[in-house]
Amino acid sequence: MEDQEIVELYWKRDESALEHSREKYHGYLSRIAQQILYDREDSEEVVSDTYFRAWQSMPPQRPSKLSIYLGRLTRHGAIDYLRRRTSQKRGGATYEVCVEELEESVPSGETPQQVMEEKLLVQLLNQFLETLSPQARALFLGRYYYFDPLWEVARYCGMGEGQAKSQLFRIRKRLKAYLEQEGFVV
Amino acid sequence: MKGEQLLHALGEVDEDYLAQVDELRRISPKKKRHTWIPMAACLCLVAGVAAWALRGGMGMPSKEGAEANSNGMSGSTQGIYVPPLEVELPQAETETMIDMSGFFIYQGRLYAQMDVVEQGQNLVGTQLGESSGTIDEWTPEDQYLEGTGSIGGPFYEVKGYNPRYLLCMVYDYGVELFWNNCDITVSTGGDVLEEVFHLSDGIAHAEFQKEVDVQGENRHTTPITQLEELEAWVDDLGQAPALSSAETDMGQCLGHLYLTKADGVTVHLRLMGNGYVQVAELPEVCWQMEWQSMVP
Repeated sequence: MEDQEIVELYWKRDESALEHSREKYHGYLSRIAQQILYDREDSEEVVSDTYFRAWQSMPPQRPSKLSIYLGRLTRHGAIDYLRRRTSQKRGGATYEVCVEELEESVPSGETPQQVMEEKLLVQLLNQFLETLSPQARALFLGRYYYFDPLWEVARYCGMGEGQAKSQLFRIRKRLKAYLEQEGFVV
Repeated sequence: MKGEQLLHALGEVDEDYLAQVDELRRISPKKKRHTWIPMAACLCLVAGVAAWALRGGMGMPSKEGAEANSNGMSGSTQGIYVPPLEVELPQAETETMIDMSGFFIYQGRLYAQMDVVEQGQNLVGTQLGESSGTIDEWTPEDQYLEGTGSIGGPFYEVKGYNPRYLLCMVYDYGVELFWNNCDITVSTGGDVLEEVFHLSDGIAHAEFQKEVDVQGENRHTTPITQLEELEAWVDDLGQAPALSSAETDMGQCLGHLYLTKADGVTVHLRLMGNGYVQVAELPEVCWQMEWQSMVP
């Protein structure tokens, strides 16, 4: 079933929307959650919650790309879940590594939230992403949006792991410079 | 945590960008190998303009013609000339894109990102210069100058290697090697394996990897234990005449050989169909060499 047809089912409050979503995207969403949580059971819980959130949010939302919309809900859900999870030993390794790596891209001094609202930060990130080549963008988002392990990002970006690592390093440096240029206090 | 805030903000970026990445992630690995063909134009843009500069457009030492070899490799009139990457006119879509391929210009040669040696501190020699890191797709041609590059920072000799061929930069994740692998002429395997990488120093460690394992999750590699035989094979490869990859019946890549020296420098050979071998960072050139008997 096409995405727009599934969205239409949500809007009609037809519960088969949930089943169609699960059928089409469960594997995809599980993978997103799993990359953040490193726990199959927790991931299942987060993905189940995604369908619930989708049900609650459509309407009024009418996403043009259902996969991206559900993926975003899953990513948020998994990050929130991770924050709530008390035991640090239970995983989140990739997430933690990504957080550490992105620290390099935040100018020192005040935190982004102290400097600007998140919406503005998102806008800047979009502008920065626009400056990247498709390959560099895939590398960056694959790593920091989808939390894919380095080897996997390197693979689907068609480069070696070492090259991916060094290119990510350079992208983070560029991002830092970009954020500084746009008003972050160093 | 600041990094966490950035990650959170990334969760809200434009869905068109996510859709592009998402599509890539879901294509089967074999298809992904071709996904970036359009990107070649973008890569060429950066390196190609630099190539123009290296040809004399910025007043660097001029070359004596297409067959002249800035590296002074032997057999330059007989071998395969690897030109500077061609300039391709940017399409509107890519005109303002940054690509993060690293290179810098030193003594009229372009050194391109090659590999990272994670424990490579012992390789770092004297500092030879510093790249500005100011080149990107917006950079006008007249600014492709000595000491500029798409990657910034000091660069150094690689101990034990000729700085005409290899230089390095130092990062927190390791020592990154840069190879002057364009605008050169390659006559035999030895022009690369020996002159550049000194493989006759000895191979300390070697691994074979099937192409399917490069694409797979486990990335399984098999150590090669018969290093003497392998070194003899490398010697033979060193004698093999270079061929232009485009003019052979070379098949698909079937496997990889990673030849690591004691100092950590690794030469990555691609084992191609129909008995051809390439150095991974030099796809324009290949050698016809039976390799099946060498791999586990």
